[in-house]
Amino acid sequence: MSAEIQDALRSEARKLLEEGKVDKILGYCMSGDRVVPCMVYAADEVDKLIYNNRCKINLARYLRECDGRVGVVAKGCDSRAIVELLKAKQLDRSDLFIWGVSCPGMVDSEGRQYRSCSVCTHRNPVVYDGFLGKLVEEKPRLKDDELGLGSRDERMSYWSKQFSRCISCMACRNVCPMCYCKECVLEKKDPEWVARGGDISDIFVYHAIKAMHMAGRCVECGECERACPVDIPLMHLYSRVCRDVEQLFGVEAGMDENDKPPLSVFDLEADAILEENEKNKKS
Amino acid sequence: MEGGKQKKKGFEPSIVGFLCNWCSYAGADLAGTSRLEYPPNLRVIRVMCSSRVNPLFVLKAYQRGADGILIGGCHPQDCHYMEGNYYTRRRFMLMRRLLDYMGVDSRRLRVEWVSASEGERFAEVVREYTDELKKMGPLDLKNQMMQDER
Ligand code: SF4
Ligand code: SF4
Ligand code: SF4
Ligand code: FES
Repeated sequence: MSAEIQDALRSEARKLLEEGKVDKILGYCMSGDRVVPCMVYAADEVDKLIYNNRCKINLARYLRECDGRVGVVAKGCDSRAIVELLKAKQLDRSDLFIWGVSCPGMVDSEGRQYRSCSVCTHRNPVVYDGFLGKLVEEKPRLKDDELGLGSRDERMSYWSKQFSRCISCMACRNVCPMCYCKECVLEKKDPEWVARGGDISDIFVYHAIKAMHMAGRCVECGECERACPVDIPLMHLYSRVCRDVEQLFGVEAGMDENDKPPLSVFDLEADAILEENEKNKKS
Repeated sequence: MEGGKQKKKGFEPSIVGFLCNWCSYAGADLAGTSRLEYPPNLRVIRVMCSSRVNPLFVLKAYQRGADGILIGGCHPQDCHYMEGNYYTRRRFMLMRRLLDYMGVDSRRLRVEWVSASEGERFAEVVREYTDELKKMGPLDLKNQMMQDER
């Protein structure tokens, strides 16, 4: 199926470039035996474009940095990141031509499926101008967090162990399609909210605030976890806040361009009831 | 200590209170001028509106040794800036869940609506919260994480 998508993509890309409808195409190419994001500018270069089950990279991250009219390949998580970026006015829809593709579930060089892909509930794109290939069946959401950490103490010790390995390299922020802030609190120097080279409590602050910022925005592409040099399963934190936003405020990230950011709106009556329920919940 | 570790005798929790200028801070002021007694555990930081409180402030306070955070704002429909406290409400509802997921007892973050005329209620909130935190013991984020990281 990926081969069909790849052929269709190349011919569509050629057409759009020849007709001058876009200035460039953002897609995937090979570099040695690795799949990398790449930009194609000319119709006679379109055969560089590929699509297969190694195309894990979230292209929305690179789209943010493009100017001009861009044709872009978007599987489920790319398309949802595009929706979020549109919501945040970081992209202009009229500059984009989106080829939606379904995702087979991406695998690493040894053929193992990434965790983000094995729990993904949106393999089909949610927004596109042209669709290539066939829709795939979506999986239901896992009921529980796979970490299965029972008590609060277990959670504290789990995250302490994880965070103790963090080297504050910021890779998890740098790859995130949603981290587009010109000035990021994690790096701010005056005041310095998160001390670089501080102690483990600084790492706690780092991850807690990043997670707050992902509320209702993280599209669960898994890029952060893959970028992390010490394999901290970061996405659990962001998935958690996103499930909470869905439960509390009823919006799922990356699904509808017209949704409002959940923490910038309110519902007077519903929120009052929520507040009461949350208070009465046993901590 | 959280996690059932040593519980100090006579532990006095430190509470950081972010109180909005127009209601809760005025409520605290009234409690003071009415000579109502409440525990000295609360350190007050005045903010113009409860919605000024960034989750970073909360995290930073924990990091610097706060055992509990009290965010005080005007009652719903009474915010001086019309709707600030509605954002406060959503933001910290969510943050309490996140803290819990990361292993911090969500009772360590409390949001209360106290009006300028509720001096007695303000004193009562502080009394009650201080008691609750006393029972919970210190947070001591850094040491707790250092013990747990092994
Ligand atoms: S936080 Fe991680 S999983 Fe979520 S959008 Fe950013 S990179 Fe993707
Ligand atoms: S971590 Fe927060 S402040 Fe930094 S870039 Fe991401 S969203 Fe922006
Ligand atoms: S990528 Fe990993 S090591 Fe680097 S800052 Fe993020 S969590 Fe820490
Ligand atoms: S002014 Fe008091 S909550 Fe906004």
